[in-house]
Amino acid sequence: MKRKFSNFRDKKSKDMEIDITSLLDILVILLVFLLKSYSASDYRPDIKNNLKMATSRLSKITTSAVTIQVGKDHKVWVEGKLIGKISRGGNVPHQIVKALEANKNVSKDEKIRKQKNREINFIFDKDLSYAVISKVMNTASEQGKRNFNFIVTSK
Amino acid sequence: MNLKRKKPETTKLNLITILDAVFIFIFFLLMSAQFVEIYKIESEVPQVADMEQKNKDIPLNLILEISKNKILVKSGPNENVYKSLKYSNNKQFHDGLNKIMINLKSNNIEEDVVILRPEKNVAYKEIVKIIDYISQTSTKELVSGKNKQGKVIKTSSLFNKIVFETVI
Repeated sequence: MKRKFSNFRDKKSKDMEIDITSLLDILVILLVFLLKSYSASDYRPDIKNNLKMATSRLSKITTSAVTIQVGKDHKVWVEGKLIGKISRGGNVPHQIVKALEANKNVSKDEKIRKQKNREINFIFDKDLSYAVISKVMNTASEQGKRNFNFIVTSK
Repeated sequence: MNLKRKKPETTKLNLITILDAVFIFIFFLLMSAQFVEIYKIESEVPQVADMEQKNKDIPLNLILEISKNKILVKSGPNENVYKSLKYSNNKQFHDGLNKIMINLKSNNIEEDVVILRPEKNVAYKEIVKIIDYISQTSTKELVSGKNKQGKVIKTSSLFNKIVFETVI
């Protein structure tokens, strides 16, 4: 038995070689594809369904800020949360004020806090009329938002 | 004498470490990948401030009045009509608007503010398209002009500080 075992150990096992050329090819393709879609921006908005964003040639990188979305059906979302609907008369739901207040930046750094609290991102449906847009912008402006960012997709 | 050439030994590259690095890189890129490219158009709320006019230069005060069928390009403190364009959603119209903006920019190279005054029934997508053509040259060509000090400045950006007049 002892002899048998030592014989087994003495046998030189052949190294198994796996051809990884095809795997490397796939990895390179995947790498190039991912590098193409890499974005330096930390802003990832949760776009609500039925909302079609406007397209633009401009390519300024987005920054994170409180986001208001307004759909074609005049529904309003603040930070992904449904707030209400803009009435036919153009009245913006008053909950929007509360939501903006609740989402105020509380950073310890005063400079960052001030800057972030002045900034707001708007995602409007491309078919919305300016009447609706100006109402939302006015409401945001009344809440101390001075820098408006209109979020668009690339062409 | 042994004239037979020795067969060169084939060396195998150890790819394990590079594969590890590539895998880590792929996961990092997968986490930060954005499949819908999104960008922003910046705009500021107009602010009123009492200021003494230091120099006697007349400000450009560029205003675009946008309605469903025409665009009025106004300038100067008295809002004189500089150009009136019949609105149509085609390339010719937008290129025409871009040319007007290039002309205005070359004469006022340091100006970058444009005030938009859209009518209530104008669609958001039309406003964004107009902003596209007034913010930068459509072919990314450079516009050159002299500043107040007489220095030649070249730029591809036109009037990229957007202000909506109706927002207070």
